[in-house]
Amino acid sequence: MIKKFDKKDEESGSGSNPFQHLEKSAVLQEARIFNETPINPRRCLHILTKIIYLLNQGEHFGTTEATEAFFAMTRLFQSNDQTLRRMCYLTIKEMANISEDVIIVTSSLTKDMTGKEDVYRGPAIRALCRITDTTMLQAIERYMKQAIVDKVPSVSSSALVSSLHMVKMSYDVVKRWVNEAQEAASSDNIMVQYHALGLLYHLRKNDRLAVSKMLNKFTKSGLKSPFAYCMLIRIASKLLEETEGGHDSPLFDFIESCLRNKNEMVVYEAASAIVHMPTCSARELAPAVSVLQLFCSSPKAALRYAAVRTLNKVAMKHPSAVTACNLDLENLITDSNRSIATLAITTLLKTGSESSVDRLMKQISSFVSEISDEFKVVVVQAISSLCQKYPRKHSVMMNFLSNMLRDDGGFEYKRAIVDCIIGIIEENPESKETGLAHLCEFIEDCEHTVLATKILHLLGKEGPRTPAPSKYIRFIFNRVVLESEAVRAAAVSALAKFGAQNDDLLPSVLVLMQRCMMDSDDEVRDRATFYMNVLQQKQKALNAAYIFNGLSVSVPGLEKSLHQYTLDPSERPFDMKSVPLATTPISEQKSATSKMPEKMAPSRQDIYQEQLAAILEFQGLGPLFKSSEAVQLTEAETEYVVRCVKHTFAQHMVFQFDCTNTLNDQLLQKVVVQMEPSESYEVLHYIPAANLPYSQPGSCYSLVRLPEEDPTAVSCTFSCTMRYLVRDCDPNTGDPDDDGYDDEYVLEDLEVTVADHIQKVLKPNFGAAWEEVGDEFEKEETFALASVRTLDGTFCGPVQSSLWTVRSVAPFSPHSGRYALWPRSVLTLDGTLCGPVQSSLWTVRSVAPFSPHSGRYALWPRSVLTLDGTLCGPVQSSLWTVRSVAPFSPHSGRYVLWPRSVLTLDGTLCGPVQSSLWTVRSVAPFSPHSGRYALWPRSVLTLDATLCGPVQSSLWTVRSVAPFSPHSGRYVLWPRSVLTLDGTLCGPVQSSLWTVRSVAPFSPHSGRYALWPRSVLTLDGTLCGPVQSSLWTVRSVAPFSPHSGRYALWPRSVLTLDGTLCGPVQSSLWTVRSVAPFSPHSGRYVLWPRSVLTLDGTLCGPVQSSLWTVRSVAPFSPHSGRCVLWPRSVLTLDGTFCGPVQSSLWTVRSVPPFSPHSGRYALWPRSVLTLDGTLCGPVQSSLWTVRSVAPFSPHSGPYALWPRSVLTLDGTFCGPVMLRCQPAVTIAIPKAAFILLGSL
Amino acid sequence: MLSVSLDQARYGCNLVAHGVFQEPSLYTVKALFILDNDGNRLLSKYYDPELYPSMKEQNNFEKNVFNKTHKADNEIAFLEGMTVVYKSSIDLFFYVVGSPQENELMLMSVLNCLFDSLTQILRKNVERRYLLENMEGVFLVVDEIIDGGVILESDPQQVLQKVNYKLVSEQAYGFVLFDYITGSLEGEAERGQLL
Repeated sequence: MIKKFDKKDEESGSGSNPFQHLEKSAVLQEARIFNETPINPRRCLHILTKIIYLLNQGEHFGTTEATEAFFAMTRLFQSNDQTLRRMCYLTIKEMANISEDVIIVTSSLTKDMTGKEDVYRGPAIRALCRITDTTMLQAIERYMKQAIVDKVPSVSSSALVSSLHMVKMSYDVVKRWVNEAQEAASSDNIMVQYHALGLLYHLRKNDRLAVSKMLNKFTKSGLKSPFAYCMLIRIASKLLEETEGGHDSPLFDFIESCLRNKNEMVVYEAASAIVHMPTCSARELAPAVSVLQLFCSSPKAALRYAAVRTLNKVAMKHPSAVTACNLDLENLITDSNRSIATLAITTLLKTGSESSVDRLMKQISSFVSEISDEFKVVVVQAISSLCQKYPRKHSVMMNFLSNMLRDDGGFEYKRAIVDCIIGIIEENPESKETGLAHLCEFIEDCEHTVLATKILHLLGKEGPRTPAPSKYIRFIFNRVVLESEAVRAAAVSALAKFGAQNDDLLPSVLVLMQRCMMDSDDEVRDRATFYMNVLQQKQKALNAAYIFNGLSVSVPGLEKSLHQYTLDPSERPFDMKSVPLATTPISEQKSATSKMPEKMAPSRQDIYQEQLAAILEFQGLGPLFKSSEAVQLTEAETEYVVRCVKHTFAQHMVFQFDCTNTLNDQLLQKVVVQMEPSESYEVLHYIPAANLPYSQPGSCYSLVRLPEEDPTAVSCTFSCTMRYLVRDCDPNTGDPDDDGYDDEYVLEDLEVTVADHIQKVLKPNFGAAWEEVGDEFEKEETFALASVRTLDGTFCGPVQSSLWTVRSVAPFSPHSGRYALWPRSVLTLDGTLCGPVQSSLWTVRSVAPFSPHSGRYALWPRSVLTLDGTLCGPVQSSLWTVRSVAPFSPHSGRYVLWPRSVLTLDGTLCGPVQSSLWTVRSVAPFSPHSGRYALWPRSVLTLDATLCGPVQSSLWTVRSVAPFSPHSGRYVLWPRSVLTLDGTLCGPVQSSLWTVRSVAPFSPHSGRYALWPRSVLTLDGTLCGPVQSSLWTVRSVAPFSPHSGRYALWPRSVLTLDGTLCGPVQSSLWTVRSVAPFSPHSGRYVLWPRSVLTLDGTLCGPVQSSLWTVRSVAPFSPHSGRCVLWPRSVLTLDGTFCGPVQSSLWTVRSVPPFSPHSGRYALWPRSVLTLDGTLCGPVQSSLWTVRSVAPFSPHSGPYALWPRSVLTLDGTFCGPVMLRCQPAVTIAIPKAAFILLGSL
Repeated sequence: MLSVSLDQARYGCNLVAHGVFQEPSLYTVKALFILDNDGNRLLSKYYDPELYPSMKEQNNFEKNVFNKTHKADNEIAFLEGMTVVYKSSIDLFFYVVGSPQENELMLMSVLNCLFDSLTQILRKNVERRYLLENMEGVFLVVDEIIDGGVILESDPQQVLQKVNYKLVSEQAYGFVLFDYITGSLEGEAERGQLL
């Protein structure tokens, strides 16, 4: 019937769907067939499929009808049709929540689960667990335990996964199966391994020690499943984060080792885990970034996406770590997958240089309309951070943002743009006018109330201070006319600010206010009336208090106080002063708004207030004024750890001592911290902590009254002693002895300072608040700044008598503020101020960016110190410039990567060098801390002729020029050394011209990654007297991939010395050494093999009779040897061999490069070519083999990019080769040769 | 307003915040669905009860995903704060959805396994008509690949072995029709047994 229906439908059109017009009632009607005997499996199967299909389409089944169908279905267990039975399981699972009494199938399922049919067992377990609750679980526990360790993988997997689902419901029962899970984890099946690991982790995740042990075991045993590896990596990184483990931890090593796993999934997981570690330095990131870089060129979109998304995250924290991938990212900006392109561009925006910004912005604007809102937000965020990095680019950005603002988009997207524009306005005063104009235009047609009010608020704040405030009034008043209540109210407030700050606008503002007072909305009317009255007073103090600076109390605190007030009504009016002040600094507001629900959580102070209010003695102290940060009163590693929090009240102070007992064989009781004040403070009460068992923190309190008679006596020092009763106890059980003894422990002194009596108050409009305070509180003082480093003693004199101005200008945006991490402090000491330095100009500028919060992003402080000649007494006649552009992080020093110090001493200064010009420039990049990333020191040494006595008559130039890639300059790692020796210098070479040229290698196809110079060594005839009659060619051919040319990395050098040459070499000594570049500090990135080629005369003798050794020694790192990537190829042609070579025994072995660790980057297949004499026999008259061996990676295949072509022409063979070079003659190859090649 | 802020929190944490650690878990797949070329649902599974609990939200999500993905075969997208990997074949679209922190390659392995298993079950005729004709097989395959969001199997051969499903082939179709016409229920029952 169904099939017939199918057929008909199909004929009627392509849109056939046998399930399209299904009626639930009809299907349920059909389900009666389940009760027929004998069962017709085919039809029943189809009906079950229909039921499941309907459920899947979201069709609602009533409980009764579902139960009815379910019960009918249970009859189908009588049939032995496999598919039907399996569909029954599916139906059970689908209906488990809809139908009643599903547990009636328990026995049938239990039977299948323990039966002989393996096909049924797994699915039966899963269906059974779906319908089982905690009470029933006990009954099947025995079966589950057996199933977990079952040798059939599908059964074991099913049992493990089902157990995992049930952990949430009945943890205690499943916990008992941990041994079985442990056994399953050592299964050979990869999925069983994975599921067992997952279950074990879920059972143990609260026990860090157990997790740690488990990790230890599995990381050592080496799992087979890539999924399990991913899981292990996640567990390891979580544990690392929790324990704040360093990068020397074995867990980190494990994760790093996974970067060399065979499976891309695991490699990516490991890279991602490393990238997401909160405290990861550029060094630890480097390997992760380089695998991600490889993934960037993967043909798989998902892999590229994953890589670029992760790189994007890295770029947020460590832009410099990602710059190595810029070229790969450039390739991705035209990716057909717009998500990938967007991420690539935003990453580049973070890492790229200022010059590339325009190009990238142009590129992205070409397809910004095609990408989803989520990614548009990413783009906006990238722009926002870019604006902070390159403030000069703000006009480009502003233009782009205003275009984006005009386009369609959701709230999130618009909000991100508005935040970004506000951020730019705050950072760049010169962009304020354009930014405000764009925003004004935006609110003309803005559907989002939140954004409109936000912009109006900003206009009110910034507008009055612009040169032409009146032009904003029109925009604001338009809102009053056109918008909803909330926007109108915000517009009224903004208007009031214009009136308060611009006297000439006041009359017009008052007129507008008047009109607002007729508004239909209460709030708008109230605001207008209020502002109208305040403005009419024309008093600055009133304006400041009521128009510029709003409430500065904490909102949750206000809410609580008001609630309290309504619960307990009194005659007294509500006192605003009783509400705790807001403590959140403005800069944190942004992060708080992004997590709206958390913002409403009570602040720290509110928590303290509640805790203290619960203690009887502290009631009646009034509202809590301030709680200080915790002060450590002991060292961190002592027996007892005590921290103190100072709570300040109107007349009292409460000291809260948080004590922790770190001795597991002691129980402390009646713990009190006794305080001896130095001033007239009076200790009123001690509230002891009753019990202080091992490692459980407890608090005791002291209540102190502030001296009443002297309100200025605010600071005081207390000497503290902790007194307590010790009871020894059993470390294992914790049972204490019956009796104890009194003891005391001296703590560090506790100080109460002025700061404890001062509460920070937010003043959004600082200028207005400053004016409000008035002149009488102003005070001027002179401070000598001890922390400024002076140069030498002679300078210090004048500085002492000078007046310094220290201004600390914190650039942060209260609105977008997110990336504003670097307060900029400008220190200026101008000449006139510094009496003695009057005739000079001395400027010390320290533009040290650091983050006040974590210090983490403080990457590049730049301090320029310039002392001009007249200032420097002793150096008067000279010009002496010391420039230290040393980037260092003041906090951790961790990211200090490339200080560059240039030291220039001009001739007159350097007595001994007076007659000469001597310049020593050392641009050696090194890290003063670890020296680890010191990669490319470039040292230029120039000695001009007059200086170098012995070299006087000659011009001798040694230049070591750092290698560069002609395309991007990115991978330029290897200095190219050019050695030029002109004739006059080289006595022996006088009559000759000798040129060594090092030509940069390139790939003939794309030329992109052609990084290594090919060095051609040409010795012309006149030089090589003896070689005149010979032809001598040294060719170093750069390897390249004919396909992509991309990864052609290592040049192979082919050295051909034909027989006739060797003769003349006898009388000469000839050494050509090409020494690979290395890093003097760590040697870690020393990547290039050093090849030493020595042909000494005496050696050559035997060469004739042929002893010839060419050794190419692989590069190695002198320190760790870790990055030694290239196998050493030894080419030996010893004399005795050579004999046979003639009669032909010839061995060429080329051993591929491999990584000794994982072999993963071993990208070059090994081809061994052996031609032994006997073989050659048949080929004697023509042995010429050209093989192009396509490189492949035995592991991943896709990265096998480099075919290697070996071309060997031995002398005796060459004759025929000539013939074979002709395509026509190829046909004439002896058959034997073909057979031979085939067998190879 | 609340929903906006929740959405925002979700995107915010997905895209902006980093160092957000994912709790190690086997629950990899949030949803899986197969749509036809009009974006209609043929099969869909939501494994995370918190993600789109109602049918309406699910349909909206599927429509949105379909609209954003059916034009270009891009393999991966980031939509509504979720990572979506997808694949199309003739008139079918296969989607696997995971959390934004999820390893994209894991999701791909699920998608590939699903696709390869179905390719074999449908004898390479991965199109709507054949899929619907063998819907029970499709249900069983999905059931064997993912259980409640946990990857149960990722090797198509293993899946096929576990499902042990026989295609409703063209030939069989003829037989069934014949059986139907001749009213031979016995014959049909016998065929059923064989199947």
